[in-house]
Amino acid sequence: MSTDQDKRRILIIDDNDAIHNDFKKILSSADPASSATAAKLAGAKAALFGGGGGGGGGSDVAAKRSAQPAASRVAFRLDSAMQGQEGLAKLQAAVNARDRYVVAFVDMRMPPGWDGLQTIQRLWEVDPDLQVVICTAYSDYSWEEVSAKLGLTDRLLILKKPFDPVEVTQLATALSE
Amino acid sequence: MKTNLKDTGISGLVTVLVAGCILSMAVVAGFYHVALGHVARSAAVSSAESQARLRSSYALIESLSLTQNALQSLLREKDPDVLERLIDDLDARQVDLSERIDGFGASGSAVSQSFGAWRTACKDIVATFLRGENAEANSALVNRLMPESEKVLAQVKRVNDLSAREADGRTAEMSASMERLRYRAVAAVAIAATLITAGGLALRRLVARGTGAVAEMLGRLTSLHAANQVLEARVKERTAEIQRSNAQMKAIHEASLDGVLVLDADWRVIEFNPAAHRSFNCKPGAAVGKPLRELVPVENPASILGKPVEATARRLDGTSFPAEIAITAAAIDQGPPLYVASLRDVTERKRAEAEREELNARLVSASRHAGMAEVATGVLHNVGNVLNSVNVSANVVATKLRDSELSSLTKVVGMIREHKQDLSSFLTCDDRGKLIPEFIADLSDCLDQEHRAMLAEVSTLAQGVEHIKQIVMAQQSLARHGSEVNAPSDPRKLVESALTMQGGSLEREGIEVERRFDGCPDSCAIDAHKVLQILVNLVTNARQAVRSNADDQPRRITLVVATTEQGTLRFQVIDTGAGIAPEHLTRIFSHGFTTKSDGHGFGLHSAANAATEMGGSLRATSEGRGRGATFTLEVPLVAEQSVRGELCQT
Repeated sequence: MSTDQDKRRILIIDDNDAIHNDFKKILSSADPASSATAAKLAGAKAALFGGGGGGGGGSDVAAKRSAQPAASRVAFRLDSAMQGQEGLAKLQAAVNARDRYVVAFVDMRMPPGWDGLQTIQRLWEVDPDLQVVICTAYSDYSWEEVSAKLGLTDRLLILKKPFDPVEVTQLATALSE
Repeated sequence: MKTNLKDTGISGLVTVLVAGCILSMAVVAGFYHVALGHVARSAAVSSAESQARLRSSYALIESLSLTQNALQSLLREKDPDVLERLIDDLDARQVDLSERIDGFGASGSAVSQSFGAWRTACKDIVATFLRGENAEANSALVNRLMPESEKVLAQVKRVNDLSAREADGRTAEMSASMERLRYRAVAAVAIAATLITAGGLALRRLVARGTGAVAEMLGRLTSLHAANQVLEARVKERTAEIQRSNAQMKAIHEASLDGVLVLDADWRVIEFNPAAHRSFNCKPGAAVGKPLRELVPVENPASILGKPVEATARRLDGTSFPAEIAITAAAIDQGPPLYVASLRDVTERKRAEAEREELNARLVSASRHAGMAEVATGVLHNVGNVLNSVNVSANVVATKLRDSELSSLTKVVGMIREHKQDLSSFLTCDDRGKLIPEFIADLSDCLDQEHRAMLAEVSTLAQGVEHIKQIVMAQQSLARHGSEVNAPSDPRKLVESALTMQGGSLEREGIEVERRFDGCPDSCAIDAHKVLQILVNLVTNARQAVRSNADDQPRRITLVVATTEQGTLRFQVIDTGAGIAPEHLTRIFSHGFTTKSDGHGFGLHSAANAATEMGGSLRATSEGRGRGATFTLEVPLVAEQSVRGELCQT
């Protein structure tokens, strides 16, 4: 099993609690209790159906997937911030502790504090290598306006709400490699 | 001139005589009797001479007066024959005067000189008169001269009468004194001398006054001539002024951008200026003689004098154009009235007005759409967020179902079916069969866990769906209200809708909502769409204002609905938030003004517009930054009773 230090750190900045929960559901590994139950069952299945070390039943995809959850999926450590300022503080702490975030998901509208663009500008001042995904329910800014404010960069992607869990997983995985 | 006469005239002679008398009296003072008799005689002679001279002077004045009269009659006369006679008469009188003055001898030379000047002036007047120039001016001159001259003559006569009377009196008195003196001693000589001196002085004064009056009249005649000249110059000046004024009037008439129509008493065109020709698209003169009603059909032109009215003007070719016309009666003392009409082609203005109205309508519509867009944007944002959670939950449920351990159960059930015949031995003796009961227990735990997780997820999903449903319902009610303006609505429901459309952010952000609906009517006729649009805006603003409050500050929004004494319905949204700086209180309603980083400055602007459209008002009050704000929307409440009545019937 991977330790916490191996997991990639992701920072989520959004003023909506529900969105934070969504990210957790998509990117977090299963909770320890259910993992234990699943592992016990996996062992029992192996003994019963003869799936042993060699992985007996070739057609038994489900069993295989649930038996090796950590190996097929990248693990993440998620941190939540409700406002841009709070997110910046967390990023600063992470940089100071030499335990950087690799990806930040930033909402565009987060009243009353900084909006997404402002937040991203501040984040990059602290950590220029941070990959950023802007999440927005509708476009306050056109791509041209965003480029004009933040410059043309390959460290910025846009994710439209409502998003697909697969998109989020893909983005988190690809950007953290 | 008066002073000169006094020094050198008759009075001078008198003075010399009197002085001589006094001197001779002084010389013969010693010879009382003889000398006194002589003095008395010589004094009497001197007095008589003085009187004669005075009479002569009076005759002179009389003659002068007659001459003056002759001159006046001459100036008045128009018949050439009579005129000739009058001129002869005047000449004769002047000759007579001349002789009389010559009779004064050396002492009359100054009078003669003055008379010469008077004569010249007189000749000038006659000459001017005879040339026929300025007949009016002359007539005026004479008219003015008449009372003046008569007044002067009356004065002269009065003065001369007085002097004659006084001179007689004095002479009689002096003679009596002389008689008395004859019987008196030396003292009487002094008294006599004094009396003679006094008498002489008085005489001198009297004569001086007589000659002064003559001089004054001569002076008046001279000034008469001068006045005549001034008058002539003035007439020339006036004529030039009138010509200039006429030219000016003509230029105004020509240059005027408005059509000017001069009309006679029968409302027919006498004159048309170039602008009128342009407006009516006709050649100069073509409209002259046309009645006004053919060009501008005005019901009763006399009734609209001085009042500009709008009318449809008709061109000669039959086309028409909108015009504004103002008619004035020209101020003329005599003769039939004259009217001047000023006419302006208002085609351009009418078009501009129509364009402006259309533009206004478009602006109103645009602001309404902008308001709707504001609502839609909020809805989109909220729905987007909730939909995100719904989507994730659905995905989680799908994944869990796909990865469900249900398949393991199926497999175990399959194994059990295979060993249906020897199930007990399979479960107790077979190596794999012995593992089954334990496996089923584990599987049950796992499935239970799955089940609970999925239940939780489905519950989240249902919540999300319910949430979206609420937002959509609020949006639908908004659309329904929009189609039915002024339909009876419950103000409380509008407020609740506005709160619902915040999409649960109020609860999430820990904002306390207080409702005070005590004075709220159950139903009233208002434009629910607009009111809701405004309330959504105000509640959103209030929410954003209190959100930034520190944790120890209350986050409260109070909603008040009540009817006012003025018969309006008042909605108030009171927050305990950031407040408004005094300098921003009025600017917050202006287009494009915002204090929010993500605002576009259209919300309050369109809200205020909507309030005005309803005939209501939207006001903001705040005690300053950090002290909260109160927004008050007042809308007219029309026929609440009738609305209730309708509700009862249906």
